[in-house]
Amino acid sequence: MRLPPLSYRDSRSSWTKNTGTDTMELQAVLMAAGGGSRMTDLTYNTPKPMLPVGNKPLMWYPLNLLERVGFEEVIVITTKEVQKMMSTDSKMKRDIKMKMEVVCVPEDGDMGTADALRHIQQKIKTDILVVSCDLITDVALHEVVDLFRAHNATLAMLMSKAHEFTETVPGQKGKKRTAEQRDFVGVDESGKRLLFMANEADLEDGLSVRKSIIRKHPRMHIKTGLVDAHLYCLKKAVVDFLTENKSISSIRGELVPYLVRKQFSKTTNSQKVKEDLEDQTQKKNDCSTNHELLISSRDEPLLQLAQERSCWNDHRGDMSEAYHGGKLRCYVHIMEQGLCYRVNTLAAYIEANRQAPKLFEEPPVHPSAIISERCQVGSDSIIGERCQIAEKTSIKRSTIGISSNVKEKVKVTNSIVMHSVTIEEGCNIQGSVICSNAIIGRGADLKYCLVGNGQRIEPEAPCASLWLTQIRVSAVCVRVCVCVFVFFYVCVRACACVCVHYIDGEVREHGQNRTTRNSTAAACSHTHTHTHTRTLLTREHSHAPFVLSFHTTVAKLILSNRFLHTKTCLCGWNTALCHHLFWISTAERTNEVIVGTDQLMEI
Amino acid sequence: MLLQQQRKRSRIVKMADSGVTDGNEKKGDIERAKNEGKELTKEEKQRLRKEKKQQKKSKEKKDDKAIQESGKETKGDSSAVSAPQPSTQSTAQKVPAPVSVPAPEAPTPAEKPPKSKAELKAERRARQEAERASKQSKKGDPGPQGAVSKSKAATNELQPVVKRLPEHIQVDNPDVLKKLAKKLERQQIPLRLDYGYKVSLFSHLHQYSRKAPLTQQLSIPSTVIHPAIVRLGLQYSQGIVAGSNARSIALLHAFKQVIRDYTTPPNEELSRDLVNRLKPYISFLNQCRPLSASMGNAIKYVKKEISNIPSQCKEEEAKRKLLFCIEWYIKEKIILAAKAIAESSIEKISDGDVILIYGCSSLVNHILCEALEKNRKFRVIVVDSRPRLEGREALRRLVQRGISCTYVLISAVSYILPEVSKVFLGAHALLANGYVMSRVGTSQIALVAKAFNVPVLVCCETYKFCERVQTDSFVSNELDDPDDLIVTRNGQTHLEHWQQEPPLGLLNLVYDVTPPDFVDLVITELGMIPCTSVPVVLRVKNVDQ
Repeated sequence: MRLPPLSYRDSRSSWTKNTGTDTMELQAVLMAAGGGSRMTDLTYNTPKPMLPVGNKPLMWYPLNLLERVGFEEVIVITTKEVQKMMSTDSKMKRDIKMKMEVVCVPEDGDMGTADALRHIQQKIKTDILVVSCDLITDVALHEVVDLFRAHNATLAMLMSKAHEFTETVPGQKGKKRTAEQRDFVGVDESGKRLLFMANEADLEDGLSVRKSIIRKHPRMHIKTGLVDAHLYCLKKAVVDFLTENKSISSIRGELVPYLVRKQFSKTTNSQKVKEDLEDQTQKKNDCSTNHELLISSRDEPLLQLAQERSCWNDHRGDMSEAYHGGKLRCYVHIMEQGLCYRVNTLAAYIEANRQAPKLFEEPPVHPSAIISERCQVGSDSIIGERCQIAEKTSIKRSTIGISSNVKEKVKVTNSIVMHSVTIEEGCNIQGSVICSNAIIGRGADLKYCLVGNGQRIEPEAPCASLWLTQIRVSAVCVRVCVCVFVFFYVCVRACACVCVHYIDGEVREHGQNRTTRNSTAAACSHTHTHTHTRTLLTREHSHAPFVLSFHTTVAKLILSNRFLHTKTCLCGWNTALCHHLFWISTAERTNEVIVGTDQLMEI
Repeated sequence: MLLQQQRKRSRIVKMADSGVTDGNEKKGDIERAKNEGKELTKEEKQRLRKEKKQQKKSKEKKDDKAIQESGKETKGDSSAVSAPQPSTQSTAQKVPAPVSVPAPEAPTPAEKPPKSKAELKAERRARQEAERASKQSKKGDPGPQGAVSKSKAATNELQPVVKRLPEHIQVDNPDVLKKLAKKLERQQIPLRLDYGYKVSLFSHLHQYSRKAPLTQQLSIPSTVIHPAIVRLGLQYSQGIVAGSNARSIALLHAFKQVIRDYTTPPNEELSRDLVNRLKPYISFLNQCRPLSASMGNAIKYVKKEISNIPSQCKEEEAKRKLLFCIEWYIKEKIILAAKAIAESSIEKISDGDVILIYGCSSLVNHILCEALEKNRKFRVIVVDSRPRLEGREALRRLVQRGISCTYVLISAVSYILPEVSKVFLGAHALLANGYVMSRVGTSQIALVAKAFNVPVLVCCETYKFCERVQTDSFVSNELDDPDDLIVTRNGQTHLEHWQQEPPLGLLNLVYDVTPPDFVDLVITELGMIPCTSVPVVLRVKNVDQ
């Protein structure tokens, strides 16, 4: 699926330059300010755009995609931290020749993607192509842009068939994944026009489709199992609309569903309203109608004339003209094959690392790496710059990051080792992710583990399916090893570490916790709320008060994070975890929460 | 069949050879064109004289040789015939001597081919005509322009000036392809690759796949080509903008955008630079889908207007002027023309008529809608054909207006014709020899209508008139995506893997030509004319410009 070599792409005698006008066809905007809230363990020290994938920062991939198709400029929306890292990263400087205009947004604020667009509104002169920094794909981008061009669309987006992640994810039992909120995407018979969009989370008791859609498109295909690649072509009018309408804060969450819905609303279609709107443009009194005007891509009368003469129609079976006379059109290109990953979860991150080498032609082993002759490095592995790999090691299907040091007799299989990691002699690492600056002690045996940034694994430590991350609770730094679904005997000797082991549902406590229970609980809950993933929850009967306080904290935290409004979400989360139904009831919408399992009803 | 085709094409080559030596289109100024009339006739005269002499010589030689080599058989293949010949021959004379017939006057390979008596006769007549024309031009007062241009037109009619064979009908010629590739490279336009196996008679035409658009080879924020042109090219190739009126309007709209965004680079002249700017755009559009005759005329007009801009004209002023000209062209040549045609053709629609239309012609639809508004009572039969089924769109538009319609496929046309009182057809182009070029199937309809004695009326704006001459649908035509012929019915796709069957070729022809014998009337904005008057209209148009 690689694009053919293009001789015309880098031609410099463009019509724009000759003419000196700044009308361009498309401006590229890269959204690289996201925190990576679904993989906090990885992004704890490295911001998501800079996470190494195939030894390149994650944001290199969308930038490369843009550069490959011919963009010469890009606006990068990111945080100060990322900007600093970008300026020091040699790879970014060397590989990306595009002119990058970096715009920083405040890190902590609740700034959505649409907010970010609003932020850079001054810089947007024409239609835009918005790409998320976590997209790794080999899509032929012209497919999306052609839909945008040919149909004069307001929105054109990219979707892909969801990939089954086959690899075992550290800290996860088997293939079990959290039941993700499915998207329902309705397309017309050609499979290009985007008619309908809904998320499972928003559906209360079933999928309801508006009559206006059904009337115009009696045959709608509703697809599931699609991943939104977060790549959007948007008309400039949409950005103008955003500046007018401040209530929309995210592109995917609010703007796109709004646009899709608006395709069939009466106001954009009826001619009468449009004429009325002409007068209102000056007044700007009626805000809502004014917005619609801004959105609908106004065809010039000549184009309308051509459309009237053309014997083409986008549908058949009813009496209305092409596009049903609608001015607002949304299109989607669904990739049937090829790579398309959004690196927003740990599983996707691991999968992307496996696939990334296919996307660029570079020698898998960097020339500056020092590799002793008597070691086995598989052809499917990537060795980064200045790595040192000692004798008798075996590296298979793995990525070794920049300046990492692998000592003798180490076996690394199916793993991702980030930058500046030291792996001491005789380690056996399998299916794990080891974050930057970690030190793996001699003879450690890691299976399906995630080792956090700067962690130190003691020598001779056999770990399996562990989640070894660093969590900050208030000012005190507590190291907590949160163990999830442990099948094997676990022994991690670390100070200030609370290890709770579960074997077949039975709980045994190892070592004494030196922090207070509450802080432990808070620590745990902190992880939960942020990772949205399964972590441990106890069914500890003997420590009832602990359990209570523990869960209250959880619930409070959850409440504060506005998660409780989806009751189902929390229940599902619990079910997935402990195979126990925890149920939560809010007493008259106060923050007082009673939490209990079926065994703890009396509390 | 193949021989026949070759013959036809070789004829065009000959026409090209015998045409004006100066085949440079760029210098097509009006002044020059006017002068050409005189020069041509003089040149022609000289040439004819020379030929006469040569012929005398060859005759003498032939006589000698005929005695010597009477037993020998002539090779008689078309390649031998391709030596220069006067272009005034009729088709019948062009048929190469069949191999089986022993040629009495066997030509030596170095010599010119033999001339039959009929040929010589034709030649003499041509010469006489030319002489007369030249006398006229000499005698006639130099003052009145009409006389000069008339004589020029007369000579043009006699000797069709096909300056060169266009690239798009020489795809099987590797040299031409190479040239095209070079030209495109110079213009920085990617070359679109041909798709699939072509049916043998049509190997000289382009055949593209819709699935491989030209944009995949372009940079995404398109830098070489104006975005409006890229969009238009896509819409052409995907069929979103189809029909020659729609295509012309969309083209002019795109040109307007180009002109609006245009600024003259320093040290350049607008009239020259802008024309050069448009050239790659036009070849890009030509790659997306071969240009229609109407588009060709529109482009000619725009180019002429640009080159007419005086060099001292300010840029803003010039741009304003050009935009106005384009607006005028659309209004005058397309919108008002359609109105005028509607008005005159309504006279032809009487109450109780049953009108048969074919496909989806925007003009015919317009006429019928206008007629309904004038309270004519009539019924329409919409005939349609695969693969595009454009008739459905026509049907939708007519039924939406409240016209009672019947919808049949073209296979049922002879069944439906007895109840038809008039046939209204649209046209893609009207050719100089009176042939009507239109969507494939039109000539079949006209033929059947003729057989049933139903009058056939062709509606066509004069801006679609074209100086080309064509008597068949083979030489110059367009091949659409053969994959359009694949149908999926009940979940089964029969022709899906047609490419893997070497003996199987799919032919998706776009146009055909209808001979003037089958057309009773052409309704234009200038009035109702017979097909054969097309050259007259063209001549008048030339004078106007």
